[in-house]
This record gives sequence, C-alpha cells and structure tokens, in this order.
Amino acid sequence: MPQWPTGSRLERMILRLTVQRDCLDFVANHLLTVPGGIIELGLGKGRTYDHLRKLFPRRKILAFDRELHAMPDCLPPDKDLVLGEFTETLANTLDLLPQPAALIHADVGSEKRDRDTQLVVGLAPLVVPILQPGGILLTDRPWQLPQWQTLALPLSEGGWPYFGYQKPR
Amino acid sequence: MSRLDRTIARLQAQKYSIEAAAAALEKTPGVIFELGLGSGRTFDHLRTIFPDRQILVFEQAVDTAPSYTPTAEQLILGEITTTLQQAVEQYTDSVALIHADIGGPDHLANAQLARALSQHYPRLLVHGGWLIANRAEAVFAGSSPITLPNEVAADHCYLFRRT
Repeated sequence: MPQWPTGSRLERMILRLTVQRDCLDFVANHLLTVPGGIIELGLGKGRTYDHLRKLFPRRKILAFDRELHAMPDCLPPDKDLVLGEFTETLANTLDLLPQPAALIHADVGSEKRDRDTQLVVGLAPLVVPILQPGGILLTDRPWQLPQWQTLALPLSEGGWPYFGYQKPR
Repeated sequence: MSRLDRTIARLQAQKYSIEAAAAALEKTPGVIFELGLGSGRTFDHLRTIFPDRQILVFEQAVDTAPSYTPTAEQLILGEITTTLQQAVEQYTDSVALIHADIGGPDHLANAQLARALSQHYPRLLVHGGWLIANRAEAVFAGSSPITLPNEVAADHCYLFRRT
C-alpha cells in the first residue's frame, strides 16, 4: 500500500489537490499526439473536471459519478454526465465517445482503502478497452495493469501518492 | 485559473495565514474562535498548530466526519450572528485569533454577514489579536491590515490586527 502523508486535514487536502494539478498538467503534455476524449471517473465537486476542460478545450470530456455533488460552476453539460455505479455505466462508454479515450482520470479513492482496492480490481477490465493505445490512466489508487507502462509522475517527497499507467501502443 | 487552481490558492492562503498568526501570537494569550466549521479542515489545522489553546467553533449545523467534529465543549451551535453576540460578554478582550470562513454561494449575503459579525471583533479580540477572514468586508473598527509574504494569494484571506 502507498504511504499517505499525515498532517492536518487542511494540509492533506492541499497536498492531494496539488498533486492532482501537477499530474494533470504533466499528462496533458504526454497526450498531444494521442487522439480521443477524456473521461473523468469520479466527478466529486468538479474541481479537476474544471481543470481538465481548461487543459483540453477541444476534446470531449465525459464525467462519471455515482451521484451528483459538483459545484454549479463545475457542472458538465447533461449530455456529458453519466450517473450511476461505475461498473454499470462504464460498460456503455463507447456509445458516448466517437473513439476510445486518450485519458481516464480515475479519482475514485475514499477513506476506506481496502474497499478502494476491491473497486479498482473490478474497474480494470472495464477501463482497458475504452482507452486508446498510448492513452493514460491517471489515478489516486494503485492499479494492477500488467504490460502497461508505469509513468514517472512529477511527485514530491512526502507528497500525496498518485499513479499513472500508459496503455501499450 | 481553474476551480482546482483557485481552491489550492485558497487553502494555501488559509494554512500560511494560520501559521503566521501562530508565530505572531506566541506571547499573546487568548482563545481562538473558528467561525464556520465547514468540513473541519481549518479547525483541524488550528488544533494542530495551537494544541494548548482553547478553540471555540461557531457553526449552525455540523456536517463533517466524526474525526473533525469539535467536542461538545468546543462547539457553539446556532445561528452565528446570534451565538457570537451572546459570546461577547463572556469573551470580552479574551480572543487572540478569530478565523472567519463563512458564507455560501450568495456573495451579497456573505458580505452582509461578514459586516454583521465584524461589529463584535473589537470587543472580543485582545489588543494585538488577529482576524483572518475570507472577505474584505470583515474589516472592523480599530484594526490595521496585516500584509503577509506574497505566498499568500491576495483575494483569499484578509488579515487584520486589533491595534
């Protein structure tokens, strides 16, 4: 299991959001030559969705969540919002995107880390077919994806852990 | 700036402001008032940075995880305009730091709330005591602004000292 930093809730939130921003900016540069849309798996308040639409203004971005909790200025349009259990909704993704996605940002972790491990095991076979070759899965939990390249993300010492995997071309 | 950028800037401003207050108030006794609990992030930081001080949290309705919920002794539940007014008598010249992060999506209402609460700050704060507020309207009579190093993004925290 990765090491999550200690500190106050305020400090941990700063570390988590900062690593998300650093990693999203980093993978955006990696994806310049990879076509396809973006999938935000775990919309939450919509902060990283808002960052994604600024990083990728010309790509379609689909946002998934179990329930809607996004702030009003971070709401995706209805046609790009998919609500429900990920294991059910992800299966229909290719009906909503003209081609497999270039990036999946899976911000799916909770405070129940054992349950998160089970969740990503179940999600892995659903994620593999909806990413382009060369596409990236960026995520807040470790995934088991044999043969995929683990990306060297811009993480800092003592910072929040984050994980990136690139699908073989 | 995305919402992610703005949130990071705001939380960093809160963290640096609280830590600057701790350094400045090291020799200034007094309790700490947290106006608005929210998700308990700054409350958790305040109790980490000020382990030996009494912290009082004013909040209308608590909606945070149990590990970030104040104890019954730390919590004053109710409409903050009312509960703060009621606290003035007991805590006159007793508060070293007020952290006021309050309000919802309605900017006009937030400004009014900030002004309504700020009328009590001159009586509550000790001389030299600090206010860290999320709105400029929280400025109070007999205060001077505090300028922090530029790592604290402007527009996120407004700091004043009771002169």
